Amino acid sequence: MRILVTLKVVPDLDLLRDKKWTIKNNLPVETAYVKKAINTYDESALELALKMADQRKAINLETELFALTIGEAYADLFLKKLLALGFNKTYRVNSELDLRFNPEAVAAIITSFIGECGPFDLIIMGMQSSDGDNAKTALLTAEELAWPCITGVTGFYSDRSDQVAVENISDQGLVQQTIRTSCILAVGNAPSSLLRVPTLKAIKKAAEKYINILTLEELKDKPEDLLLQSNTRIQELETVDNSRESIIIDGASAEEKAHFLYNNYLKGWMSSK
Amino acid sequence: MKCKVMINACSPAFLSKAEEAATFLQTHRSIVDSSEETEEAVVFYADENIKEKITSGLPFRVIRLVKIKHYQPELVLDILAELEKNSPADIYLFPGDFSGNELAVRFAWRLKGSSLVAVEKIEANEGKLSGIKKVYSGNLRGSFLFRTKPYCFSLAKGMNRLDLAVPEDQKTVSSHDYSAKPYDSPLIEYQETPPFQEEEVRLEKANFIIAVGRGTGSSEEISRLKDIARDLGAELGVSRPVVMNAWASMDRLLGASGSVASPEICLALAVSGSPPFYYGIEKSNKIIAVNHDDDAPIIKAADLVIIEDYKKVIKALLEIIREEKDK
Repeated sequence: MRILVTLKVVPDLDLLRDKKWTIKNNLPVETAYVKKAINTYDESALELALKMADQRKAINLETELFALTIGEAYADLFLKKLLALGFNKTYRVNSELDLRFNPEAVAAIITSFIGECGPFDLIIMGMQSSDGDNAKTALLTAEELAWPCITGVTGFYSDRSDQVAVENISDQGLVQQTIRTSCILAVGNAPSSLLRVPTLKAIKKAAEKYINILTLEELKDKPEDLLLQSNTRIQELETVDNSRESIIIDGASAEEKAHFLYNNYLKGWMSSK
Repeated sequence: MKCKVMINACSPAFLSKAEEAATFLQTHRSIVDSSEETEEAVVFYADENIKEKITSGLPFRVIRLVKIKHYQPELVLDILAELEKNSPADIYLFPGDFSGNELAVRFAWRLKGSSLVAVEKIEANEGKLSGIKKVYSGNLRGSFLFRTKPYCFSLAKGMNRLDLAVPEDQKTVSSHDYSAKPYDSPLIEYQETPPFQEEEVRLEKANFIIAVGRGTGSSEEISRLKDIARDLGAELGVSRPVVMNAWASMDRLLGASGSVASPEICLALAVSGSPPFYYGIEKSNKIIAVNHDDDAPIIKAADLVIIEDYKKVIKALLEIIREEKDK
């Protein structure tokens, strides 16, 4: 079974906690100085793919894992890590385009990549990224390929190549379904899916492996002007102000503060219940 | 602009989602210039037993019922595209849930329109429509211009709801039955279990929430806090890292990817206040943060703050409550 997992390397926004956000005139947000990380939903997608490969290996079934990202060279560090974790091949489509709010272009690039380097039985994607927050790429790729797409995925398994059993959270509740491949799985809040850490030995071995770098020009059958693909255009960005009164409850001890909290806020609430 | 609302009545929460959509239209009446009389809700459902609940409870005057076998996005998209090809609206409004998000994007693609997910409000300028939504994990808000019609968008989670009930005798209901539509389904097996629904609704309707974050440190501690919350008459809600570590079940997740609560009091313990989590508690009337880190973002985003190890405060609180009970 050939599985493609897509990932995006994003600024770790947790590290920007309450710092001043700098938005430039033409709308880029200054995050160059912030440490990068794999987008959290993509991290889950990668770990779930590794888990399935492990399960299949235990019953002597082969799984080929491929990872794809679009972006600049700083993503290579993460692709090397994936090679150390057992991914067979990693690809980066080199691009300096601002695709944060252009999921249509991202889906077109992924579709074109699949045409070049596929076929794949399964495509696993995170449901949205932490910067663009578009939540559209997996859905648009499904439409481009005319494949089914399941969202809110929390787990999947397959012991054959023509179908996959998927667990996902939907509006109807928890769904367990078996679906024909090829299909796209958009991973949501999957418990216990933090990406594993490679061993030192695996890291050394992966250092000898290479990352496949493609240019946008090398990809065929993609739209001429990728930047015009987006059907919505970002016009303005502003910071969100969540500030409230922030009155500090003072006291000599935790007990004193707890008394104040109870007498002034919780007591009335609890007696009214 | 003519607007249609698309409701997934296979979801147990469809009535509250429909109310959010109706309230959104009410507050954007100057843009969505169709009158209440012509606003149409397209409702797809699978269970014949809820048909009456749909027609009596939905706050829309024109209701088009579409019966399907069960919710499967590709099947629903095929049906919607077939239904709408002859009289497309300018705007298709979808609720802010799983199906709303996926259908808005895919439906727009099929109709060569524009789509946005999790829209908080819309603005019109010289005949052009923009959608406002949060980006950068809730740290920023972006304004997006829709480029081509139809404009398809889903609402942000936890939007306001007004009581906009419509008397039944003012409703026009039409029905379509697609439950036997031949369809080359990719599905081989399908099973739904709605175990979390009851708890999720409780979290969203709770008046007192204890919200906890990664700083609580272990599944044992989360379990202890669950008991404490129950004793205090509160619901326990958790952040994404807590769920990702499997210390609590998904139904307790608060935030952009979980539930949005609007309690009277939210006691936030060891919560950093990152925007995706804050999204789940920002509608609280009063937020009381207990955190030993006076630099955590939650401090500025709370009404009341106790700079302290939350464990000491909880221990003292339980002692006080015990003493009160013994009086």
